[in-house]
Amino acid sequence: MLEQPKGETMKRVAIIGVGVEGFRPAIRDLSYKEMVYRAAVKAYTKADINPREEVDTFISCEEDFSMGTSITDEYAPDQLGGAQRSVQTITGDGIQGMAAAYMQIATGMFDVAVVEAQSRISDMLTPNQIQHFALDPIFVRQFDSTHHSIAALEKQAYQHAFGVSDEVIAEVAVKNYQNAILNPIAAYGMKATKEDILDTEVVSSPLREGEIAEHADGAIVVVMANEDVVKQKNVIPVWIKGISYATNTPNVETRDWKTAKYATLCADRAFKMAEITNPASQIDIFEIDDTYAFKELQHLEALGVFKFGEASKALTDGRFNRSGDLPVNVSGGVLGVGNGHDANGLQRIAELVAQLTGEAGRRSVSGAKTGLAFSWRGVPTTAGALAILSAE
Amino acid sequence: MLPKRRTMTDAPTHEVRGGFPVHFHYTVGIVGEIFFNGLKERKLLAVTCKECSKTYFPPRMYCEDCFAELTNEEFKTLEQEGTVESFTKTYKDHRGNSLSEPYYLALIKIKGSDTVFFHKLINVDEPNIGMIVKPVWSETTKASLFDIIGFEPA
Repeated sequence: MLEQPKGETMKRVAIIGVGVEGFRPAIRDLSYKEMVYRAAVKAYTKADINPREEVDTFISCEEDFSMGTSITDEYAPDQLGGAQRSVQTITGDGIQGMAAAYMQIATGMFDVAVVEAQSRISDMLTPNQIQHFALDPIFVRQFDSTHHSIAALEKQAYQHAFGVSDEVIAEVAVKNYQNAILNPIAAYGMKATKEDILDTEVVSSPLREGEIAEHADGAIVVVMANEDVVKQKNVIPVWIKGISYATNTPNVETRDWKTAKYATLCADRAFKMAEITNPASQIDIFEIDDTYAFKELQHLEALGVFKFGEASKALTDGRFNRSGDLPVNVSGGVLGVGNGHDANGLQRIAELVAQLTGEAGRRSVSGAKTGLAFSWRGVPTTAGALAILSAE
Repeated sequence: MLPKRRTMTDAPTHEVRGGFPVHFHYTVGIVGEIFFNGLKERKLLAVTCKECSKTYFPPRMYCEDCFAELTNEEFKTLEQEGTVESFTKTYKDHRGNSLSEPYYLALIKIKGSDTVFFHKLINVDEPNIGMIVKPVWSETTKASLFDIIGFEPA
């Protein structure tokens, strides 16, 4: 478990630069290395950092099947400016990569860390098969069904347990697609009505196409540093107050199908670290995984922002809107920005950093000082990662 | 001098195709053998953790809650009855193409177990959560997950 070490040796850790290339439904002009390079140059410019001299550790979040290359980590360094330097790969979400970077900086052995995550899913000619291949081969994968069926079973169990309607869940999608219109990194900003969402094709009941995040390509690079570096640089820091990651269980037989327990496990750890006892009053802005629209509500409840079954009313009362008292997914969420898979967590981080540094333009949430980013690794996982960021 | 800015407005003219076939045989393990041989005899075999009393169906070599080894526990035969905990009608196959015959998948809690079993629901028009179901066995069994054709209303 991550806990803030007591004593004087622990230095605070900040994000000092974020660079994004994409997200677009398909990036067909840039190679994946060119895509990452462009995101990296933006991040290093904002962080006032020369990666060839000032970065101590690079962390790339990617996996072989997604990238289409075995031992894909071998190909990660040069586009980040990390050739012949300390580079590691984490096969997980970008916030998991940030947790590793946080711990490395916290040791005192590293001053500056770089975390990168990307999606090149448009390069995959068989994305459905690759996701199907993630299912348990002995007890689940033998059935010829889309991997979305796993999320559909979860949606059904959640709705039944807490009395949440399809109409309310469709409103999550309406809000997030609408929010994405103002976000320059979002691939799927659009005006859609509740009826538009409910009219989309049923993929695996009760799950419809309009409530499933569409794939997108993009890359995000995040530069993190300790307090001493922040003082020396001309940067606007965003401080990491809490960070955690957790898995419920990979097994369909034993997982919690109703309440996204992995989110609760993440919150227990990160809230302790950040001294959060009442997230609804202590956090100003939320970026929450909504890969499937119902997940936004389920995750908010599992994180303890609401009691189980009570997020729906807050949504329909407009409290999650940009002008509401608990803005959720002002970026457009995964639905609006596009499913960037292992880059989804860093999409959430990019929005919070934009908001907390005053760079969100028309999307700005006035007075936002503290934000919460929560990512989920998608079907078939019960893996989540959480970060609490603050301007102060 | 300003570097030449190259962009592509159309689809790339050069792309390299590649892929590789991936095939495995997955070993079901010591307790998996017991489970699948049970199916061959049309039996639902489960195991209970002595330390925490959790009953696993399908059975496991170890308890994931308390990490106790269950290999030497007595494997018990459960009643052929379960409750639907959740269900979905799937319209797409694993490639994402439309299925010619959409079908129901469900999470079924077999009576006497503390876990759910992932399988098909059959012979049902409108299932519901809480529905009591029973397995329908194949005429010939061969120690396979599909020795059970599916679960139907009891």
